[in-house]
Amino acid sequence: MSIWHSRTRALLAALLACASIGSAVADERPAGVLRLDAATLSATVDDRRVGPTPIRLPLHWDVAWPGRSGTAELTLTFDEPADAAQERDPYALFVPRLGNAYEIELNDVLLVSAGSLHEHGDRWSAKHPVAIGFPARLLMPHNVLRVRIRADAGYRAGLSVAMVGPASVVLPIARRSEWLRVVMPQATSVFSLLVAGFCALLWWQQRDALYAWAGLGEALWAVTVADTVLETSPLPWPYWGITLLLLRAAWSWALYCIAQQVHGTRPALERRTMAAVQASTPLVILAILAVGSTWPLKVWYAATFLLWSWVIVALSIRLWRDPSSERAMIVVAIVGVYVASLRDAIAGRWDASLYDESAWAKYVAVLVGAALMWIVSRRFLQARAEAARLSASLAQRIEEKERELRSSFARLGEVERSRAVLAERERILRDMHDGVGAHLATAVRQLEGGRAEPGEVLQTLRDSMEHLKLSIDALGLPRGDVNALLASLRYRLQPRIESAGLRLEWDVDALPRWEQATDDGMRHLQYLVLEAISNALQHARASVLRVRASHDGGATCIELEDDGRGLPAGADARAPRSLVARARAAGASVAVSDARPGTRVRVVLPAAGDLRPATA
Amino acid sequence: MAALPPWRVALLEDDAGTRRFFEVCVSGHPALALAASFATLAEARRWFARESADILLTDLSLPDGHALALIREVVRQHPACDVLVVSVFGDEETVLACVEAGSVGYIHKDSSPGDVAQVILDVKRGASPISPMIARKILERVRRAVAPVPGTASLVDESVSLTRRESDVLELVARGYSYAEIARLQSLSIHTVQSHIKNLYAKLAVHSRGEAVFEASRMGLLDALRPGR
Repeated sequence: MSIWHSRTRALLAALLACASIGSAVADERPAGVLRLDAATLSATVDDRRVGPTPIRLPLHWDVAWPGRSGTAELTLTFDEPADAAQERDPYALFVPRLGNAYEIELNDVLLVSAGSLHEHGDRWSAKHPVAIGFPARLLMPHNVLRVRIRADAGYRAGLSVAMVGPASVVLPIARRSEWLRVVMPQATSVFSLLVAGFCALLWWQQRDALYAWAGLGEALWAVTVADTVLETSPLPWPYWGITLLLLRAAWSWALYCIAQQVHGTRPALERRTMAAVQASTPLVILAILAVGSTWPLKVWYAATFLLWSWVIVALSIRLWRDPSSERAMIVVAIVGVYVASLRDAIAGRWDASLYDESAWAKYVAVLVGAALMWIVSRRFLQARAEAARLSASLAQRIEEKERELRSSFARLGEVERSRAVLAERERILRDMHDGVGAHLATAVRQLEGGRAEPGEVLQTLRDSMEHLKLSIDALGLPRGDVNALLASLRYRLQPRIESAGLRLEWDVDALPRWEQATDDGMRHLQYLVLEAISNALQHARASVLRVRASHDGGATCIELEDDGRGLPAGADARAPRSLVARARAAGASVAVSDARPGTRVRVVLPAAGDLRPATA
Repeated sequence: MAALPPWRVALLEDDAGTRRFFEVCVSGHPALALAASFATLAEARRWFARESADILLTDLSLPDGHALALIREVVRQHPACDVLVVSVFGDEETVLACVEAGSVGYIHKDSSPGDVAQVILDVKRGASPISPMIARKILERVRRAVAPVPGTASLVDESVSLTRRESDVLELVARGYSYAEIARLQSLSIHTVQSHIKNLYAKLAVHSRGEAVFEASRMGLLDALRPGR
């Protein structure tokens, strides 16, 4: 949809531009204004004298004597307008185009002159319309307007139809012409410069070849258009003309490259031909200078137009098959420039009647700048949409990853939990089997046999309760906290120790964390100390139980010493098997020795990396 | 001492056997008198609406609910009444929850009759039963408040802070020392050690609720609980 829309808009703009030029150059002959289109011409063309001969204006030198330079004097005669004698207001002469250098005399009074009449190649180029006011009394019944010009080959020299009339009527016409031929081209030149600067900036930032060619093309075009309003060219003729031709060729190539950037690379043959034609421009200039004729230039123009006709057809077919608004804009712009340039070439080189008309290309080429700006804005919008889409998809992907991570963490957590539950269950089962379960079984047997004293059963049940409480404490014990382990043992066993009539001496330092501890190891250590205390309570017949805990470096030492009957005579100082097994399971070492009196049990929890055995 | 009237003890326990055991424990001691005995929270609430006691001995799990709410009510409405919770294991989580509700400690379900009476009398003399495990838990919480661990929430308001002495006493309790041993080590009277623990419990209770009004009433209660009453 947008392709047709944009195409329609572009065409409409082109048509409007053409129409405005058309209306401006239309035959204007308001009342009271004399239109001077007949002249007597005396000329010197390359030292050959011509005339005097009557001609119809406009005179287009390049059409009359292509490739020649010379001078000419044109004499225009007219009778005094009917009411001029009564006019108090000034009169004016308006010549839309003449050049290159000129002198205008009215009744032998010099009205205006510009440039040097004899110096060929003078930099004066007479691009502006000429409008001069003069007092009405300068007019006579029969007037002679003498226009002398200097004409340089290929520089659009000549004389257009002139106008004489009241200044109030003629000057507004002149101003309109000035606006069209000077102000508007200036504006388009500035526009092209702005586009060029903008594209250069974009190229600097993005290094996109399209912007490079667009910047170059628009800059070249800005210079080309600026020429049409320069009264004084930067270089003498014909060098400035050569420069302009080279600029145009380069611009043509830039336009071709822009088309390639938007439409895709063109076939190699077409590219090479276009490059060859544009690059041959210096040769063409040399040829012109060598043969002294403009036909090499005409051939060059013909080749360029033919090539561009082919390119336009090919691009249009491609656009038809694969439409896009960018391509459509470029095709419309190129077609516009093509038509205007073709028309300008004809007006400038082949048809004398179009002498005073302005070149169309300089207006139509605005389309190229507009198309480029359109493309830039489209790409900007696309980039923005793309960025938005990317960021949305990135956010979505992050969210998905987060979800995956969460679920994988959840799975891991689940596995870890079930493993922990399993391990815990095993530990509790083992605890019950060794502790509460065993005690309850004993209590049941005692009651079933009927032989046990109530006190015995009570003790069994109390032991069971004690075990259960220790098991619960063990669940809450921080791993490696030996102080907490000993304190809990004392707290739970206190009633039993007291009821056994034993005095407890407690001497426990603040102990460092036992680094190698495991949950199982802590439990085994708890059982180990419990068993040692139980032994002292049940078998030692002691009155004092000393519990000491201290540390030396990283190693922790727990000592339990009673004042009971000591080890049986002759017994080796080896710890009971169950104590040794517990110690091994806990990762500790145990030694039992005679304390004389009493027994000493020494448990050593090694420091990290220290595996020294305990010594009594 | 003999001139003092016996402490009035109220008992809340749903298991008939255990209730009878505690009734016997209380009745059997000359310094204690059984004021009332209930099997449900509702009965206890009705009674406390009319009467008061010096000690409430209560189980936690009752047929008509958990006793924590009742503990709070009794502590608020009867500042002179100390609440002791009957616990099978005396495990630190349960006990601390009760301390934060305002109870002054716990009593083991399997204690001997003499022990039960002794614990009640100790409480009325300004002691608060504590175990090394509970002491360690409190220390942990206070330390966590000093260096908070992200993502951990405590029942206790983090602004609970301990005095140097309280912290020393707690450390020793956590290491297994008895009140008497701590008193010797710290050159304090055993009474002072006990009152440190009781004050600590009171702090936990206040900070767990953070009610200014309640704090004020609690301050009155603390005065009433000073050793030597």
